[in-house]
Amino acid sequence: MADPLLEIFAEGLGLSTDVLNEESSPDTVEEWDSLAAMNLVTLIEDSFDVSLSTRDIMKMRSIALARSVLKAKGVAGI
Amino acid sequence: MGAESGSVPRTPREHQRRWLQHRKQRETESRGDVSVGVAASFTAEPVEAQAGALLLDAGFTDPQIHFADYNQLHQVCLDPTAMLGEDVEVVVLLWRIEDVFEQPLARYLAGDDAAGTEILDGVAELASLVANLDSTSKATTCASTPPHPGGWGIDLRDVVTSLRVGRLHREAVSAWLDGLASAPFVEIVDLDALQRLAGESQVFDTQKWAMYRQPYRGDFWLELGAQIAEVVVRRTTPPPKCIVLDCDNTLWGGIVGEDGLGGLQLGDTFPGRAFQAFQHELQTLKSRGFMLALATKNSEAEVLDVFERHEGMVLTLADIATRQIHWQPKSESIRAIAAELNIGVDSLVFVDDSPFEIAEVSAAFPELRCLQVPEELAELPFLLSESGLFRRVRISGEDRQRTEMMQSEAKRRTQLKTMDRPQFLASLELRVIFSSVSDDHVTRVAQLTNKTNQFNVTTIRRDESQIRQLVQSPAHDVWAIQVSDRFGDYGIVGVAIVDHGADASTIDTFLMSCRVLGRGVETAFLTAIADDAVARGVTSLVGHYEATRKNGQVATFYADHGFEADSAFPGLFRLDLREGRPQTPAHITLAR
Repeated sequence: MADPLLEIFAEGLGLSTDVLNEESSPDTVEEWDSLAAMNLVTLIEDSFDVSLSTRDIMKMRSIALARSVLKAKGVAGI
Repeated sequence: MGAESGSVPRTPREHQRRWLQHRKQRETESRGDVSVGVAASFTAEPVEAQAGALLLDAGFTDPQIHFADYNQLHQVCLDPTAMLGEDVEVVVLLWRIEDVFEQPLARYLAGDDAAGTEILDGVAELASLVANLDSTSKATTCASTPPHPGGWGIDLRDVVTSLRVGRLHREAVSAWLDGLASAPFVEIVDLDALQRLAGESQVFDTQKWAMYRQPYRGDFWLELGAQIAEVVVRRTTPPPKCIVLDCDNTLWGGIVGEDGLGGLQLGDTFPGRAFQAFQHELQTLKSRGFMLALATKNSEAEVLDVFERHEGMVLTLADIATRQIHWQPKSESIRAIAAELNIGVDSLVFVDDSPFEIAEVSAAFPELRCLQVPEELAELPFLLSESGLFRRVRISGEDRQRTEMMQSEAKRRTQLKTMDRPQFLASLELRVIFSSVSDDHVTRVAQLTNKTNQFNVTTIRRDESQIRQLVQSPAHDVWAIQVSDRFGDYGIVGVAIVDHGADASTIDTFLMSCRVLGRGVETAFLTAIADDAVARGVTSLVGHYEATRKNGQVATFYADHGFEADSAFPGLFRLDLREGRPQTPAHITLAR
């Protein structure tokens, strides 16, 4: 079962979903640098039709944390 | 190519998907069929996918788009291949006053007029570097105009601010264009005009600016990407020389053979106004050197009658270089016009309202560019401009005809500049302050160890508590450098951690933010570390290089500074301090 958020991170980081998990973060994934983070914000905003504040973005220090931010914003199917 | 109107524009998001898809498929070591290098005073990477997808549309199979490190415009002008690769064919320079002159602009806004002069001198100097790049490099140089400053600190509803910024901006644009006057082949991306076209409040992305120094929203990146793609395409596409025009329902509304002279729509009410505006557009292009020709299926006498007698006509027969008015296929007319003007069919642009005629000429001449009169006649006056075929991207002679006063001002500024690299570096007034890290700086130092990827010899990540432990450890030194130059103060931009052993000191960490690269600062930093080791009585300095995917630029850092590679341990380098040590470059003032 494809997880939409994982797919987005894979696309934004140019990686396969196999090498990512909930704990993936800028500290564990080399590709997750500030440019990738910037692209991820755009991808997430476009894909889930949400707008993220800088506060939201700064909380998203792992895939699990990104998921909880999006859940809190009421994104369905996350 | 067929009709160019009617293609469906894609969104920035669709371009991004297409580009990511392409990048996934392409071979990693491919050299590509065109290489574009971008240097910008802000984070400009979002333009890659937009320009890239458009270049794929234009028929390139593997366009390569590289980026110089952030805010390295001066360095790129002096050494484009070092920053953007040996193969770079198009160098794109994008810059804004509020980035390059961040600090003087703040002073100018606070009422310091001298800071304004400082900015204008800096603009002229940058222009001279661009002109020098254009005359010395094989690559096509493409430079932006500086957009009107906006964003933080600039309230355009406050008249004192808006007039003050507006004045500086006008003078900066003049200084820039005057400076480029000696470089007629520099292509221009008018970032200022594009920003106005889109509307300032529509283009800025405050959050991305705050977090990533990326100023623009997605739609604007598409606009900018399109401009860059146009410059790239234009290098290999012949410019149009002649516009070949149909008459009925193209130059005027109606059919002269049926409606008669009095029945044509051409005048000051719609739709006649739209045809008239289209003719004005044609006349403007003619004044810029494009020829006009007629290829139309009519009786010649009737067409000449319209030209000579209709009061609504803007164009006259004197505007028409040659004409083919008969009932033969239009492909014959195209062939005859090209032969008579002695130019290739690929230098013609054909305009007609009939899809049939466009199909007929396209079948005979696939290289012919065709424009179809749009269904919505209100759009007709935009047909030529929207095609992008007639845009000039260079500053021509007449644009540079300026008053004597302005010329002498330009000359004064020119005297300030035309520098080679050592002169430029000396003019920076670089100052490096070398110090031991104090508690106040632990947060910044930990942050740098965690986010610096490129200029980082070992890429060892550490958090604040680890840094604090090292600061307190008697066997370790944690060093930082602060850098400033005449453009401003960059703060703490380099960190080194040195582990002192009995007779050797080992450099465990040596990293620098990319904001200050290419100016010899790293050499000054290493010199200070070596000097400190000597003062401690240490005889040998050891450095490590741990390769990562991103730190290739420091692979030879130690070797370049006189260290000997250890044959037994790859990645280990030794410097015998008794034999010699690095020297601070002459253009840098090193303070402790």
